[in-house]
Amino acid sequence: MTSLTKQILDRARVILVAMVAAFVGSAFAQGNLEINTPTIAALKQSMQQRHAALAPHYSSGAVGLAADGTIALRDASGVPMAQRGQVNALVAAENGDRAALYREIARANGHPEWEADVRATFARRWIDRAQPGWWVQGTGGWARK
Amino acid sequence: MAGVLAGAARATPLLEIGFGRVVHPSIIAEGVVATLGAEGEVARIFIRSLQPEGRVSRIADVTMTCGRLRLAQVIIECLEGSLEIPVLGERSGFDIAFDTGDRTGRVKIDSPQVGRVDLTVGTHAILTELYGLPLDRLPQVFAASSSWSPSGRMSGRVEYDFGPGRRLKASIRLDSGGFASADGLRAAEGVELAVDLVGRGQARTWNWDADIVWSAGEAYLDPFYLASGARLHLAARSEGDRVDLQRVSLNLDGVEEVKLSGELDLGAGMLRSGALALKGADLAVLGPSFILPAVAPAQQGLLTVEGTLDLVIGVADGTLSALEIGLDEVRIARSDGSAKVGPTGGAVAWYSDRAGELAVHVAGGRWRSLDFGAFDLRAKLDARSVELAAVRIPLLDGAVVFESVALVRGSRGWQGGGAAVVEPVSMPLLSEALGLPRMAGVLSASIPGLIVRPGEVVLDGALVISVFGGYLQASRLHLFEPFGRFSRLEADIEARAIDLTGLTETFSFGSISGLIDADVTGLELVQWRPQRFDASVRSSPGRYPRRISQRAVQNISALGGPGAALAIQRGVLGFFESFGYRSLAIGCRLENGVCTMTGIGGSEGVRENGSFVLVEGGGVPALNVIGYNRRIDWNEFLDRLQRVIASNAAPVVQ
Amino acid sequence: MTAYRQALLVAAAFVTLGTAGCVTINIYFPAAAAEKAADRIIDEVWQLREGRPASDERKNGEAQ
Repeated sequence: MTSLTKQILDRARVILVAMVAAFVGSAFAQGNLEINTPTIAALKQSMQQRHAALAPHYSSGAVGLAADGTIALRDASGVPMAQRGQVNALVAAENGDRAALYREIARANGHPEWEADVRATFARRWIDRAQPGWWVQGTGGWARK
Repeated sequence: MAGVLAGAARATPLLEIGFGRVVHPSIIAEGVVATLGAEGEVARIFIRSLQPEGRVSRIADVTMTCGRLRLAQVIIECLEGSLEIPVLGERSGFDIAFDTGDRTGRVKIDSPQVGRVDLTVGTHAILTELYGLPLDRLPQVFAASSSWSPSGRMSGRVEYDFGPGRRLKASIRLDSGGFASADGLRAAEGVELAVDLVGRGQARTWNWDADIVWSAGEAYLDPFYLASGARLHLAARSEGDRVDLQRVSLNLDGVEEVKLSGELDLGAGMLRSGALALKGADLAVLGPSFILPAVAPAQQGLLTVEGTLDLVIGVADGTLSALEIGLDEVRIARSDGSAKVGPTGGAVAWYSDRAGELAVHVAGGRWRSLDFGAFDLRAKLDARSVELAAVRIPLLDGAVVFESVALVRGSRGWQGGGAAVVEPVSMPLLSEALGLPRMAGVLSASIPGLIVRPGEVVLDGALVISVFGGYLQASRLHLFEPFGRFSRLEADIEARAIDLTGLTETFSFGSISGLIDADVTGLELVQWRPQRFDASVRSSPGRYPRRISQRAVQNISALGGPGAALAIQRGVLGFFESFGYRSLAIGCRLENGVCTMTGIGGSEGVRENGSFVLVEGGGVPALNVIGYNRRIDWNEFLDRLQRVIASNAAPVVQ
Repeated sequence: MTAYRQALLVAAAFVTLGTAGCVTINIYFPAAAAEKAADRIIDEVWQLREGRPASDERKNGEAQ
């Protein structure tokens, strides 16, 4: 009888520990958003590689950071005519990755409905952290940082 | 007209006459003051405002000074003069001769910066001849053009007949012309253009005929880059701001025929309604410049298209109202060769206000290393929805069948669903097509719940492969971003009673007899490479012969890497060809590129020193295979597996 | 037997507490956490480290 009781108590202790772990886990989830998924890693890498091609266009003002978390070809006049299409393609590809990133972060955290919030958060942070000289879109339109 | 004698203020002119307003059928001048014999000048005419008839903006403060002045009866001549127009900045050479009797005359303006303009005013016509008129001066005259920063030089003649049957005939050539919107998204450079235009006016309407030849230069009209070589013929009728395009045909490289008709609103700067028809468009030419930039801008350079396209685009009330597409011998391929479709032919008709349909025959295609056969795609189209008729896509000796798939386009993308079935595909053919060792068996799938959501496809059902005497079943299939570059597949896989004899022989892994069960949960493939899963493979329950060959034992220990070891000495191993075993198991939880291994008993079977039993011996001689290295780099593990298989495929003499 | 009941009760209490706790925790969008996550990703994509901006002029020069 005693051994059975002990077994049951042990089991209860295990459940208790599991509960505590679950609490700690959810508290942790509150402090951090899951961004370590293979898809997010792949998207980050793709965007990082593209950044080398985009950075000169941010600096020249050809491409700016839009208020909706995308980037936009806002002034192509400094880009040679024949290359404007390529910059446009670069912008489209980046925006494709960004949309996938926002969606994936919401999804990875089990809340697909957070996509718009994730996008809004990113939109703000991209703009806040843009380098001086880059163009960003605020409530009053485009402005140089 | 009141002549006013004004007292001399500074220079005591002989005579100063002010004309309030001078009206000519084609020109209105206001605040005209003529001064005779002022100091150092023969005569001077000042015009406060000069406004050509119609809606063109006015020119202010024009000063004409005559070097030689002749007034004889009805003739006024002002020769060797100069013309000063403040907005144009510089002084121009100037000659004028005017007959006030029949109101005819001649004006010549000449300046190095502005070029030369000859104006001949007849009783019923004005002829303007331009010799290299610089367009970059245009914004100073027409404020509306300032946001377009025009450039280039214009030459040619414009003849305006203002008699009862009004007629305008223009023949103009533009050299090194261009324009640029402030954001550079609409711009042109180095343009050479020849325009021949004839207009006939009646009451308020004009009928136009124009030929435009674009012979040099380039343009960017976001998102299209255009190079010269187009030729346009236009017949139109205009009334005020409204232009009715009756017949526009365009000769464009790569297209047999382009026709445009419609109604333009110049005031609003938009096409109110219209139809653009392309016939015999060569997609190999048009694809990179027109179609991909508009349809798949992010995929430019990644996709190649060829074939012939007929296209009709209808616009009503400024929005797209109809799209009719004819395809012939069209092929679409990814540049990296990973997928291709075609040749395809057929028709698509979509309308914003009524039902349309899609009927396309696809002669075949390839996805990765899988070829699929010919099929007919038929669908009912509505403004925002697609209803696909059952389609059977042959795949090797089976087929993928989609049934009653219906999709609706919402604000965030397509969604809807249907059902799908994979008719049995034989594994020998499939494994061969995928470049795998030949496997016996059959693959089939039943997906009664095919759910499409923006960026996501859920396959609610199961895909079953009967293989190696047992079966393998994939369920909870989820495809994310199916058309994105980082498509991700999630699934759970369950395998039961797989015969190891067949499996190990097929993959040249030595020889193991027995049966295994396997479970892979949370499998995640990104770009078809496993990124995450929790897998366990173990001996099936039940009674059956279980033996493992010496080669297989070596291979299993080789997989464990240098840290793996055998529980018996190599010397003993060498004496026997095969060993009996009681049970075998291997587990791998892949996360962040690292596989955490387990053996028999899963994670609970891992001993305190971190070792785990992969093969538990049974009978005589008994042999245990024990792994010590729990964490293995996944890519290295794959390398090892490949090396093991490769080294066994080619017999090694030791 | 009472010990068994007690254990069960404790477990049941925790299960209810646990589920109730979990349900309420994740209703709101965790704005601060999202901001942190965004910053980490932006750091990597723009290759910013310790707030020191990567000089894209230099990169530009290398690219050409």
